Amino acid sequence: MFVVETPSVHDYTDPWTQDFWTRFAAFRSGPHRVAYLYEKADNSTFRYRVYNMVQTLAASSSGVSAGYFFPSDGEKLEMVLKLADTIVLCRMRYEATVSRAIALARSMGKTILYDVDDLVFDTDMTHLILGTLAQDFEHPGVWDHWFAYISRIGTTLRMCDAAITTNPHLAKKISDFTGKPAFIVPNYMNRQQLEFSQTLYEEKRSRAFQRNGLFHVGYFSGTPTHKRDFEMAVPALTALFEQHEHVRLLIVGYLSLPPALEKFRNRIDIYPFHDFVNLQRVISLVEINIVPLVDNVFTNCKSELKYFEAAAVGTLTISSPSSTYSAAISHGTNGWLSSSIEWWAVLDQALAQVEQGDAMRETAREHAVSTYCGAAALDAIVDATTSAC
Amino acid sequence: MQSSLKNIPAYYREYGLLALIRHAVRVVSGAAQHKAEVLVRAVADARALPTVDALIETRFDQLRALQVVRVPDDARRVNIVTDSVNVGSLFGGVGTALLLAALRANAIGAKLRIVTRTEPPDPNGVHRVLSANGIGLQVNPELTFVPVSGSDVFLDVHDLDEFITTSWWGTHSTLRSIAPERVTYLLQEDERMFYPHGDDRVRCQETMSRSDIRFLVNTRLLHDFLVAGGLKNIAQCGTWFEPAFPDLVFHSVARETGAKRRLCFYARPNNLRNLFYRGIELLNEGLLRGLFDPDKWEIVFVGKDIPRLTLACGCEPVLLGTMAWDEYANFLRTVDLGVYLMATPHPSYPPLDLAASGGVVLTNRFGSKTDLSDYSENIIVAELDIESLLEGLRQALALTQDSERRERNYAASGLGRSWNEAFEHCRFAGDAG
Repeated sequence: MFVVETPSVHDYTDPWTQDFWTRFAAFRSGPHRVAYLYEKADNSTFRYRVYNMVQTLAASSSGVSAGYFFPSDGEKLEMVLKLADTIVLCRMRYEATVSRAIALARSMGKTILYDVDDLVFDTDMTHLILGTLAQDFEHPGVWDHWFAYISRIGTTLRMCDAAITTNPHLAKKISDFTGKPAFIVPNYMNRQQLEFSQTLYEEKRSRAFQRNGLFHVGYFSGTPTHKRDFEMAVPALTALFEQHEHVRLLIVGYLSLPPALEKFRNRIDIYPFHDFVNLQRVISLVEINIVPLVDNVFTNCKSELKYFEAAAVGTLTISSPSSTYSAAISHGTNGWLSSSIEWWAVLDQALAQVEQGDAMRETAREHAVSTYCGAAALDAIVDATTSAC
Repeated sequence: MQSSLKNIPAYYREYGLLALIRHAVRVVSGAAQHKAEVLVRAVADARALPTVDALIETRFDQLRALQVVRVPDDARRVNIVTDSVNVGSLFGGVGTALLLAALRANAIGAKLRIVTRTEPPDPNGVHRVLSANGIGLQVNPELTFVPVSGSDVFLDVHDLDEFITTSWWGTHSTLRSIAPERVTYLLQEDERMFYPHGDDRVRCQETMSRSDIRFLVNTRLLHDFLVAGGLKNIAQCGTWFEPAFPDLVFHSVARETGAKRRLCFYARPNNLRNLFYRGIELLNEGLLRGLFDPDKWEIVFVGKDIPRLTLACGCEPVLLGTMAWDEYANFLRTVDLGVYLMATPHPSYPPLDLAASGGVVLTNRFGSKTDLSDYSENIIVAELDIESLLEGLRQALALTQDSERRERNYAASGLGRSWNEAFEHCRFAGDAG
């Protein structure tokens, strides 16, 4: 584990809690106005696909201003729609408010885009998605819930003029589904995340990447829905534990340990969920971040965020070679790619390289902070939100 | 009161006509009700009994339909359906199946998906087999455990999936969910021989007789044996291949001169076709007759579930269990003579593995398996009676002493060394034409 004494951010609060009028003022400040609509602010999709975009546009001189709004803003939404040039519905499920908003925007000749970051719009994929996410097929509500969820997203998506998404693979799926264009705006890190990551990385570098003698592998997707992903790496982790006494595993989230790892329980730490800023600190502690992914059409649509968030704090990643991770990671240069059958060999190789004080982390960090930041994404955001008008 | 009408006159005399009539009605309706209850109970009992289908599914649980779900996709995929790919089950047939499927996937630019049915796949083991044979995959493979029953796990399939099955039960199970024109059955043994004449054998025979799937048969010997035995469908819908023994894994090194020579017996008492008891008889008799000197020969039994025993020399053989690929290959290079009995038409892998590693082999004839010199002159084949086997052992021992002839035979071996070449003429379900 790396020695990091930078304290956690104890006074963290979500940065997206401004009142309507503050958001509205930012939104109306430019000549081209983009209104992002999202169901309810959260730490995941909302942050990556709405909050970050609005922050980037606000800091730019692109002439595009933006604000984020919610159904809870009530009647004031109509005012937003009137002033907006482009409306982006982000992962909003079909319902009366959404339908009315689209009808109203259409009547005023506005451009309506739909932002979606997962393959969750085509009901033909429902069974595959449920299997991948390890859902309980016997649960009485599971089929109704997921079919409704996916078809509501698919219906709203089809009502829009075009889509915005995170990567070319998913963009193609969207276009195949809707027959309409899909713009690509990759996920990236916002200012708060980058600033705190910079602090953490600088400390690690100033200490010459000092470690405490233990080798920590980190898994930062610890929810039950990632059970099947994680299981792919379990045989390799078991072998790694058996071969190397000083190996430890750090999991963030609520993942029940597979039976094969139970005997190593005293070498495994499970941390609760963290907010997105403090998560960077936990990631910075581990030597290797692993991103095993079941390889199917659903997981190939996932973005590469687990790579760049780790790289930003000087932690290297081993990932399954999904479409996005293969594009982001050059094997042996800024991380490693492991096919489904190579986890043990690649983990062993990574352990040896990290212990020799490998310089790959600098390459990875430079790549992450220069490629996955607002400045790098700005042109794509402006293009998506203005060119369809 | 009497409850039946057996003594009607007495009842009439005692209670009168009206009472008799009332009682008669009660008795008759009670009997009817009783009858109805019995009937209902019988129906309920019958309903609680397993149906014929359920009984058959329970008895032949490995034949249950492979659980699949159709999910649209446009990428080609080669699926190999097998029981297990864990350490210990990766030699011989399963290893061959993995290599075949991997090369097939590479050849058509498809993804390989390994589907296991009895235990979750071991990715480390699969990696070891492929890398030991110098085979890399062009597309990230998928590993999926789809248990034969009792699970939510399913296989997503689409029109560009093709399947390679590795046993008759896996083939049967797959064909219950997948169209036959997408199934290739890799046949590496006359699987009917696993069973006495009975239900299993009937079903096995039915699967092996199908003419709507493709067959790939491991060795021409096995292919010809099956066709000669009446399976004309295999001649029409099948191709055979000879297995390969890449130099990377199987090669000879100079045996240490002066060191004790090593005799390896393939000892699997629970695999009847390996003729464990005939084998130990042979070794015992060979020692009694002084065919080989226990002071000059180390006797090693390799296999599974081997009982400890004493041979006629008063010595106990060294027992070795399952080895990893690299261990196995290293071990073979230390063996001078292998006694590998196999009561099937396929030559089986151990004799060929050892011949490919420079050793001498004694094995047995079976059906059309009468001569294996096309593979290597270092493989001696004998009838299964003790005297013939002893004669074969004499010849084999002599060959181990004649290093010049043994090396010449090794150099002239007909064993293929490339899996790519071994499979290049094979035709699969999904191939045009």
